[in-house]
Amino acid sequence: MMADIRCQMCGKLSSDELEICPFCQARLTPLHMPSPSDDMEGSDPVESSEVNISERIEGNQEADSNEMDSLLDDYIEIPSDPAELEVKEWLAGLDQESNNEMETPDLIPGGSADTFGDGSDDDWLSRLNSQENTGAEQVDQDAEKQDGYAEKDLVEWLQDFKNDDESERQQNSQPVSDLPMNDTGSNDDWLDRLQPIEGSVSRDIDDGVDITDEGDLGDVEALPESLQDSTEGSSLEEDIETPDWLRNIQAETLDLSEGTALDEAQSPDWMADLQAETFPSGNDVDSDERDMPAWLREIGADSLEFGESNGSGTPEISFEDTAIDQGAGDFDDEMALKEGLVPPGEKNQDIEASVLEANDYDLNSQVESLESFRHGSSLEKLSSDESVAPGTTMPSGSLQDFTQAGTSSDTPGSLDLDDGIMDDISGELETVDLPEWLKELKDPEVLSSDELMDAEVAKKLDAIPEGELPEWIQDMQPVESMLPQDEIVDEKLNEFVENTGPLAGLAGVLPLAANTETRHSTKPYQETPVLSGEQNQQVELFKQILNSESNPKKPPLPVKRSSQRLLRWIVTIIMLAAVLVPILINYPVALPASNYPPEMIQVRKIIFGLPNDSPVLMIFDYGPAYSAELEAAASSIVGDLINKNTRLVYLSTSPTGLVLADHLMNGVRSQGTSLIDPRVTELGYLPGDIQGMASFANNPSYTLPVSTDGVHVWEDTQVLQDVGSLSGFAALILLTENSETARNWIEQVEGHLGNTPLLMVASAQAEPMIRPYFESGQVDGMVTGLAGGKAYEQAMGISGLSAGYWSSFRSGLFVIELIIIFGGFWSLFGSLRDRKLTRKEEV
Amino acid sequence: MGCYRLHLYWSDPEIGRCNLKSIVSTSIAILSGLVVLVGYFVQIPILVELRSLFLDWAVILAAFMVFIGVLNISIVNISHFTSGKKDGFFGLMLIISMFVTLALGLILKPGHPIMNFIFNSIQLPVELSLMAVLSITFLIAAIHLLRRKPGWVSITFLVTALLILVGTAPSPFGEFPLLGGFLKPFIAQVLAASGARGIILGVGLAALTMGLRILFGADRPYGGK
Repeated sequence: MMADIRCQMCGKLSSDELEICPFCQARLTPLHMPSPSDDMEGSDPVESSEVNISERIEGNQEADSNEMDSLLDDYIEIPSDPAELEVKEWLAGLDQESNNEMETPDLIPGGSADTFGDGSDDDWLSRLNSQENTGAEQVDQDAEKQDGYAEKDLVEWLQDFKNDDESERQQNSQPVSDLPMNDTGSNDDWLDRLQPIEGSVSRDIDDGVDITDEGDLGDVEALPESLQDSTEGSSLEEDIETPDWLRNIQAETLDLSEGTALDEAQSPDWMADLQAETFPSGNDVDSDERDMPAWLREIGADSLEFGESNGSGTPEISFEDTAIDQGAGDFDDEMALKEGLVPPGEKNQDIEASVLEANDYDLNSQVESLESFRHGSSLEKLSSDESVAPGTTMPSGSLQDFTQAGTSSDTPGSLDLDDGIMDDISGELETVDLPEWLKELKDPEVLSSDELMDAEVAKKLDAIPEGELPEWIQDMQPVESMLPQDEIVDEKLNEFVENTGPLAGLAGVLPLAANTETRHSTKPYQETPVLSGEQNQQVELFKQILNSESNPKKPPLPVKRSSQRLLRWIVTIIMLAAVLVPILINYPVALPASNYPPEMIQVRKIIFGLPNDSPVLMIFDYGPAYSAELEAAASSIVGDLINKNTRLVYLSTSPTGLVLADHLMNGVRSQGTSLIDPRVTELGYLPGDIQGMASFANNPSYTLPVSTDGVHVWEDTQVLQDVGSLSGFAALILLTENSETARNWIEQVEGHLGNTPLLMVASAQAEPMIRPYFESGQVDGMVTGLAGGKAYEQAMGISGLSAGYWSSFRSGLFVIELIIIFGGFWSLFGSLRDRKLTRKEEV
Repeated sequence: MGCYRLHLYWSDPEIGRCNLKSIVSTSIAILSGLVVLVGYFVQIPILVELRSLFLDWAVILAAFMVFIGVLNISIVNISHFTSGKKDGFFGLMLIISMFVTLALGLILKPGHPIMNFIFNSIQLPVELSLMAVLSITFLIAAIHLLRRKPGWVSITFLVTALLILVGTAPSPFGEFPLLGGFLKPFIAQVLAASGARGIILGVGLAALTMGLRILFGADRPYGGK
């Protein structure tokens, strides 16, 4: 009766013959091998193999008996159709386990993941021992605890033998390299191709070994050359790469003294045989074989048969000599002897005989039983395991690969074992010999050549220098990665068995809710930033600045000072008194002769030397504000000129110059300095500033042809008929208070004067700037301010405005000097006093 | 390539307008300056005539500029008065007096006694009075100089001013021989004159440089780039 398998994804029932759910296309049968028990330490298969299987079984307390029963029931109903079998998958899983050291085939139904730990390999043989030693119940528990992968794998690989026997040799299937690869890149489907050799010894499944003997193990030609060569007697131990899980078995002590009491009603027959089988009673095998389970011994017998009948080219399955527990005794020796690997002479004669006697070895039936066992176990596992999340699919890999390879062809066909582990597997399985890995189920202390080779390989691998990572990568590496792997052992992680999700039933996986303690919790983001004291101060300052922008700054209050009106009045009164008193008292003050400036003396000489009725050009370029000073300085000169009956011609570049000229002339007349009426000709206003000066200097008659009266003075014989240019004048007198005006006139008329003297009557403020021209000879004479006029009058022996202004001028000047002196000292002392007060306030 | 660039340069209408204006004005300025300058050194009749002609044109333009200034003042003050600004009445008074004087001058001639009376009654005393007030103001400033800006510069300034004042006119109590005979001439004729010489030389050199730059087209105060 075929059992139904409940799909993990959709939850619908489907036939157990199916591998894929017809409704949701999910995998029905798991592929992943159950993880080892908690007792397993680390992931090193070598180390794990050294763990006693019995210890594992004893440590398992959580076996599911129901699961075991279902597994056993299903085990009985293994379909015979090799295409439906998924035996190949578990073998692929074996291979995968050997590579990634994660999967361990659970060959003993009832084994659990907890029993065998997490990711440990090569535990299936250890499980055998442990189950047989601890009793049926533990075995049942273990089997129930497993996720069914162990049982399935056991059935699968055994079924593989069956399929290899049943499958056609002629099937030239796809090379191994084309087969679906497992995660490790190796092709596990080579085991799918393996077929039991016809006529090989087969046993019932009840015997504990479900190995079919139908068919051969595939075409030898399909095998890669390495395997083919190996079938010819080459050292298989050198070519086969033993899975790690097999290596582990080597270290295990198969204490099969105590049979595992299986529940015959629940466990399949072969398992029952395992339980019932007690070494060494009822067994012809010697003590070495006592360590091996019965079914393994049967396999060894079959292998021997396979080896015997391998002359037709039957592909010979030779498993690599991994760390198989050599406690199986001479079982491997039998295989080795049959395959020609073990040199004769060893203690194999008895084994050989026992193997040859096992002629009733039925490989096919055993494979079928294993297959059914696998299906049933998987289905029950999936159905009964409530912790398994719906939709949980078995990890794809070896099982499915095996299944697909099995369904694709009846015969293994050719095997291109050119990838991964396949390359190391020997080629043809000439006889139904035990695979190499089974050979290692003996004294673990005895290392076969393969094991030595593996050790050597391991050494070589270790010898491979590791690549040096750059420093910056090393810095990026987490601390854990830098630690030796031995230190990174999370025991809690190994103890944890996932109950939900696709990794349900597996141990040693990272739990979803695990490591929450170590999880780096991010601090909640604070909306309000936390500022330090200095930052707060800066923030406050910034706020003040922003607030001050909106608030207009009050202008600074001016420094309040005392009123200066009183001081001004005082000074004014003093000055008025200083100026008026001398006038009122009419106190004449004579200027000493030593104080006559030389420039004034020159003017006196020139004026005194002018001929009578000579034309003299006078230029009035001063302002009304300086008229008093200049009139006082020039009145005497003009009087002298008038007295010499000179023809005075005056012009001005200033609009007010002509009026000032008339004012001067009226003043001279009013003073009585002139004895005759002046002969004055007004040429008028000369515009253009410098250009006018230049134009007049170049051609005065052209520039100012007509006087202000409308008379063409340049044509009048009584005025300027004999004057054609500036050089025709007897003298040129410039009256100005501005040094710039003086400079311009000097520059423009310099080239046109000839021998005509240039005289200046300038204000005292312009004297410093005009003196260089006098000292350079460009100016022939200069009368400077009131002092110059006083000196000129005193020198000419006349009394003019300068004499009348001189006493007031001198007294006023003296008072000013005193005011400056006393006022300066008063201010200086006041400022010092203010400084002292401010310093006291600051202190 | 240069011609092509020049073509592109001139083909731009914006660039073309600006450059044409600049080139014309610059050319006129340079030509006029060269003619006047050469006419000073080379007594070629035509150059002399041209120089005289250019100077006459400049004189006329300067005279017209005075008339332009008078109009500008009139417009500004009228606007002040019409806009109701503060002191706009004074602007009106200014304009009235200006036009009245202008009219009288045109009618009566500048030498007319009325014209002289206006000048002698108004302008001359006002300016003389301002000058007198200025002397008092400077005296008060000298008193407060050391109080507001105490320092060696202020002291030096005041001391120098005192020396000049003392050397200018003898005191009522007599003349200080050292100050009047030596110190004051030394300060006025040596120190001041030397400073003045330096200033005059700098001004002359600056004027020469500016003239040359205008002749070369480096400076264009008349506009253009």
